[in-house]
Amino acid sequence: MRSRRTRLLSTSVIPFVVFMGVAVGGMDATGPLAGSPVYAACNPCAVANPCSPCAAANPCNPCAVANPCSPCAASNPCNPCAAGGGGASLACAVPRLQAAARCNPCAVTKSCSPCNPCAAANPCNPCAAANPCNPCGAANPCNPCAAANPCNPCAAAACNPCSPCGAAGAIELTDAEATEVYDCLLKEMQAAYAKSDNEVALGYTAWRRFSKRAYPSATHGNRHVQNYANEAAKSYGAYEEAGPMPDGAKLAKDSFSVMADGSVSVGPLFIMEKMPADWNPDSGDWRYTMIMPDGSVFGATKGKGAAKVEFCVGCHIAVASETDSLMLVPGEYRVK
Amino acid sequence: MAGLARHSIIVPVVAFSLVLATSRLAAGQDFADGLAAYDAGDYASSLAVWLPLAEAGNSEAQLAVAGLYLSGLGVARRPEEAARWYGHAAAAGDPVAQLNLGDLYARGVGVPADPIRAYLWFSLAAEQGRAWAARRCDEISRRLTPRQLAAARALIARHQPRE
Repeated sequence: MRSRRTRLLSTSVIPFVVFMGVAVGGMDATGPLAGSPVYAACNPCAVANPCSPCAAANPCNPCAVANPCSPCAASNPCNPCAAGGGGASLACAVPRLQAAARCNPCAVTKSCSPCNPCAAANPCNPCAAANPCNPCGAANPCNPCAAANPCNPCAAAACNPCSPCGAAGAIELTDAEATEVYDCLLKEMQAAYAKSDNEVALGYTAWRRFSKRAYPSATHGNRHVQNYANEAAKSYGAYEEAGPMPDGAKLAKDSFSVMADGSVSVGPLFIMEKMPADWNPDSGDWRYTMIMPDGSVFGATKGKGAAKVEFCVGCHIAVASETDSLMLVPGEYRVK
Repeated sequence: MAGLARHSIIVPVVAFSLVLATSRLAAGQDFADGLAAYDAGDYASSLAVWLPLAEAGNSEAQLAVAGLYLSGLGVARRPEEAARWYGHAAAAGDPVAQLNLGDLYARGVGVPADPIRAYLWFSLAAEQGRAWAARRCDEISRRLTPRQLAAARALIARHQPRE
């Protein structure tokens, strides 16, 4: 026969107690879904939440703005702080992902979820003092906050596939979703790029588009992109058979990011312009320009801020040396 | 006793070396590192590189940090924080920051809607040759009353770019 105290500490009671504490503590949360009991309960920032990663005294505070490992990063698919999205676009979103985000793994009501880090009964609970993997234990060699830990999942190295800090993986959209989001965002994208006063940014959407829909591009930060080419670059549509582009060929790739919570945000506009022969052999005579959504023009090959687009040159030459530095639209998304 | 003396020297030296190493690490990160991370979609890393630069007064980094706060990439979306960073760079004379700050004032995003301040920042950006800002300036001016327009022009006359 178990004692009353043992029963109180049992796994069936603790989650309820934690839930109530967190829910009450989360009541002062603000934001569009602050009134939602699910989001309030999930709020790891709730004052009453004993596991609050926001606790000032917590040396591993993942919510610190300067922390590159912050799980509050909107691009982090595990973002426990996402309480209703908040991407740049207020008009466009992916409803399917928004619905999925409501299944927040921190929902204490889902105490049976093995992924729930807030459930007291969860053996993986990172807040459990006795948990050998407790990431908050300063002396814990597995402490993900330990700077010297080579397995540190917070290591900024983007190549670490397990790194929660690495670039978020591509989020797959269906054809219909990709088309709907792109059509919805197009005006926002045009308005954003127009701030640059760049000639290509002002007119690229009048060019021919060579992608059937926006598709995820691993070489462009897993953003969804579309490919446009001007009249001089019409041979781009021959893809592998296109051969070197002529002087005057211009290509533009607009982009948007999709967050795990379904929100979307305008990304940069990537431009390649073919210049006269021997203009700059190091870049294959291509001038690369990157235009940010705020209208900043980040570098142009051989122009102001050229160093800032060096990584574009290096990447295109490395990945597409056989195709005049052109990264081609993946087969399934090509316009024939 | 000798051991104690040795420790009293070693500890500050080690501490100083650590501080030096840390500051070198931070100083070694330049704007392009943040841009490479941004381009790779690693927004949290780009923020980690740009934020110290922005805090040190780098206008380009201030602009970039503002963009991340506005879009909610790598950090929770906070338009008011975006407006604050645009404000720093705009006050230093950056035309892109000026036109974006003007846009926030025009739309009331992150700051209270204020057509007079919108006009001020669009106008300052337009003076630096930004055609988009000039067009927005014209649009706003058509909606301002003569008194508001006079107030906006007075603000422009008083404006001194911050060093």
